Amino acid sequence: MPKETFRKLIQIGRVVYLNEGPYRGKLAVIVDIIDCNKALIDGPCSGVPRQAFKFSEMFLTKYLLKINRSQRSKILRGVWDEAQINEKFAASKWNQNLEKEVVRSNMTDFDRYKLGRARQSRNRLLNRVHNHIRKQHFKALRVAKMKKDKKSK
Amino acid sequence: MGRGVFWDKMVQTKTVRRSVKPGGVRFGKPKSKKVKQVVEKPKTFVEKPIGGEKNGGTRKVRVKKLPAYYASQPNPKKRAKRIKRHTKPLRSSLTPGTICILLAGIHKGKKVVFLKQLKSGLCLVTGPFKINACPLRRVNQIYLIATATKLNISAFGIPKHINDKYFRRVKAKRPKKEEGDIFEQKQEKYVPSAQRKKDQAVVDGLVMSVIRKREDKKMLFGYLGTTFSLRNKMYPHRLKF
Repeated sequence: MPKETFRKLIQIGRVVYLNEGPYRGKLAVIVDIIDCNKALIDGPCSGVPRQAFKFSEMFLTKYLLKINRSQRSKILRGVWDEAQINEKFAASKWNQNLEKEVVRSNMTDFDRYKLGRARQSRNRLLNRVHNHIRKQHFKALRVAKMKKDKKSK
Repeated sequence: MGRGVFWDKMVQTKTVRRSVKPGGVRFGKPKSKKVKQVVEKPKTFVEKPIGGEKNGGTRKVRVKKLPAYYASQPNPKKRAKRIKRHTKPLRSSLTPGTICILLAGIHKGKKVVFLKQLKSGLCLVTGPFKINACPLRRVNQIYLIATATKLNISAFGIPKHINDKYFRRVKAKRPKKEEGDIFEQKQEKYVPSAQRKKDQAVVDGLVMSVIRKREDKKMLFGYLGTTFSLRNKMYPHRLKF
């Protein structure tokens, strides 16, 4: 299989984001693969106990730990900390989007109005500059064309 | 008929039983025997002549008609009087000064300021009228979404005469019979009275003065002027107001 087709694979050591159940929103690592539906996961540094978890209820992250099959939690903790998975994920775009979602869902009606007004004024500024540049660009094109026509005559 | 006979018998047996007392030996002076005055019992039936050849000529008819209804219990308990309905409790999110979204009526979608609950349980709200053309109105609380934005109006007094009676509909006088056709009467257009206009100005002035004191007054004025509507990917059950 070419490496570029699938960058993230289900494999031992793959850090996953849990999307279902009481540990929703937490990270864990695949320790063993039980069958085509489930994996044994463990999250000693993120508060997830060792358990079987469905593949359909998790997302794969780009982080991969170098561990052995069915590695003990104690050793896993060391590897996890060394790879700084918690810090890396906290700074990732993925986590930023998650945080953004929380902020958005906590917005009140008045906040939504204020956001709308802010976007309006931002777009007004952007459009003004954009239109100015666009106008100048077409003007330059027209001038160039006229010059060319004159020369050809 | 049959029933009436049965009842008569019941009365008889009762009287017999009463005369024989349990352990019925009496001591002491025997009572002097008096000649009882025979009181004629009022008749229960009266014979009345009836017409028709084959009807036998007469018919026994009750003097007192039997009641058409018999209670299923001898002494049915009277129902306790219904307790007068109290004003319905307000949702905790609705406090004086809360900015609400109206969900029904001609002003639906508008943001209004909740002022107080009236005795009937309805909520008194105002636009203010100058901002979004919603006058002083009564609304049921189920048609209000309370937002988290609140004005600090707990201190100010709304004129006391603005109550449920104040908002009652004025009944149009019907013309008397002599005065033309009842169908020809035109419905008069509603025009707010001078009193209403005055009250509106007073209440709105109070609300506006509170808004003007806020730092985000400019935004708030704009906010109150807009109507609420659901856009793409806005799920009302997930929204926070």
